[in-house]
Amino acid sequence: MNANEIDRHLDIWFDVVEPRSAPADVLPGVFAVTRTTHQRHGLAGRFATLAAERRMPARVESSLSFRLLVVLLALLVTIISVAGAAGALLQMFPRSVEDGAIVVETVGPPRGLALLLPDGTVTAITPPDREEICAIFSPDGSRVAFFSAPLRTAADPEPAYELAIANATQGAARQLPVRAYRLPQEPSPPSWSPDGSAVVAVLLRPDQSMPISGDLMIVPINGSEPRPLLRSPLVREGEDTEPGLYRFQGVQWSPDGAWIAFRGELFDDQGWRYFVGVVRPDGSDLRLLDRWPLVGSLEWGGVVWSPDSTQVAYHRRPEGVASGGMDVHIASIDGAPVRPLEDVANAFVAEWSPDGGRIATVGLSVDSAHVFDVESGAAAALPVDGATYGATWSARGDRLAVLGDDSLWIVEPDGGETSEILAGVTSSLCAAVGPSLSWQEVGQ
Amino acid sequence: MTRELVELAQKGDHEAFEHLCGRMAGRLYATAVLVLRDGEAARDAVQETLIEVWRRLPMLREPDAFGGWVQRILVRRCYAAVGRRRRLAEISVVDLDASTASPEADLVLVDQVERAFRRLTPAQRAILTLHHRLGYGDTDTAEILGIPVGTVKSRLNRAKSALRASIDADERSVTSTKGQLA
Repeated sequence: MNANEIDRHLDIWFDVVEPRSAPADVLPGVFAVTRTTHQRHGLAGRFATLAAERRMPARVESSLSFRLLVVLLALLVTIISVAGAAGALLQMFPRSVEDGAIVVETVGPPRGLALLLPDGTVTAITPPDREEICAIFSPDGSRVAFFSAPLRTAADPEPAYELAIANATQGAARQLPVRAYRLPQEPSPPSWSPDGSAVVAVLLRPDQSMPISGDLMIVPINGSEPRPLLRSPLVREGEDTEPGLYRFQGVQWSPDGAWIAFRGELFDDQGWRYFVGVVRPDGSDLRLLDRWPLVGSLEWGGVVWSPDSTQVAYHRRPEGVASGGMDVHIASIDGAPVRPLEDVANAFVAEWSPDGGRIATVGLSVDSAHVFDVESGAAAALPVDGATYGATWSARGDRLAVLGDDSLWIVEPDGGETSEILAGVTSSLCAAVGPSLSWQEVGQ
Repeated sequence: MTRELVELAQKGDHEAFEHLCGRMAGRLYATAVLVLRDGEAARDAVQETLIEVWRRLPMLREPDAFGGWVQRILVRRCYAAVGRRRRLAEISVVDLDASTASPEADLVLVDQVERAFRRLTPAQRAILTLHHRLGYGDTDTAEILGIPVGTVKSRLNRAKSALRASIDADERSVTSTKGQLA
């Protein structure tokens, strides 16, 4: 049988077996998840107004200072989207709840950043000629790191993003010296060093012709040159894949500052696999803690550190299973065997408790929000409704803030009360690249 | 028009997203059925894909890349479904609907290709479906599958070689059986 016959056979077979239309019930499940948002607390209306005002110059109301050491400090990637009456959609990083200081991200186009201050004032910090995403607060809450790009134009339809920081009390953005980089197709938010002196981010090199795999870069915020930490082999059209590490995601600096954890895809003589790894901030001592076959989906997300910086938790398919729901696993940087926790499908790691004893998870499935006991591996479901996108512990570890499809909840996981503290919101995608929030008690 | 709908959906417009879903569902379902050879699993894969698309849509920078981006998510979902099916040891079969067969279809040939196609890896089925059936070019297929263009060509060749070898083996087996019966 020659090649032409194979093609003809395939054509005939495809004609017979290809369905002519989708079943009528193929769609409904989608819309059960993407709930219509609604307005409570009057927030959505203000955000709609803000969206209309995005053309105005950026400014910050200086009389309203941030209360930096107060309550729920939202970091990293979880974004809540808020839809206003006029259909405007914003994503926001809750910064504090009781005092009401919040940073919001408009979902444009163009997308931009703005501050929701304690009195309800919303002020844009993104200039009208730029698009800005993925804001991450510094460890002390005084600054925000984010990606910033000029607006698309006909002459430059795909402008490069730059890393930028804004002073959280003044809002003025200062570009970091990373001007030639674009973001991968699935961007991963930057992560601050514990001392706030640098961020680590996944960025594309200028000569990377396919926007699918970036490099790990450390960018000092003092203006000195960015430093490549780990590089992916270049991916170009028409070239075969080289062995190496690709598609870094979920990058996170360890609490002690000694390591950087990440996940991604590995290509070697055994083919493609997913991996979780750590490396020293100087690029030395690369350790791949876990690898598994690359055949599944939802293989994106975060890696979270234990408070003592000795272990990382992440989600992956169970051992020996080609695909299926994501389960929480723990790997030690000393190379001890990887340990799966209780099988709870599609649980995405969110944050390790301050005492190291528990791990909170979230996820798209309605029953993904759990608290896992690290020692026993057992899981207990959290009493929140619907999909969840981020969870963070209070400093004492006795409460969790959980971002849901429609609400921000405070949960006492040991059986206490669950209260809804912010409603009328709907979550968006940034859990895709590693959900995380953090919480500081007043005065700490 | 699609670009406008994608931009509206990125802003959270449910109607726009629903409209996009309606447009895409047939093609997505066809892709999933061909890759998975399982109607129920294909339905699940499409639903999961659309949920994931909704959640990640705001991060899509170039609305014109929407179609390929969705297909990429779907293919990954299909790969996941294959593993899930193995895990659960539940395999349902897609019925061949005789009424949809083209007049010239040789049912023996169709049966042979069906068996051979099922013996391919999910990645091989995906590349044959996307490239050969749905007409995506090398570059688009590479984008959807997340592999270099060179790998598209080599994987496509290997898939067709595997298909041919499987059909040839099937034919030899039939010939041998007929000989023994004679």
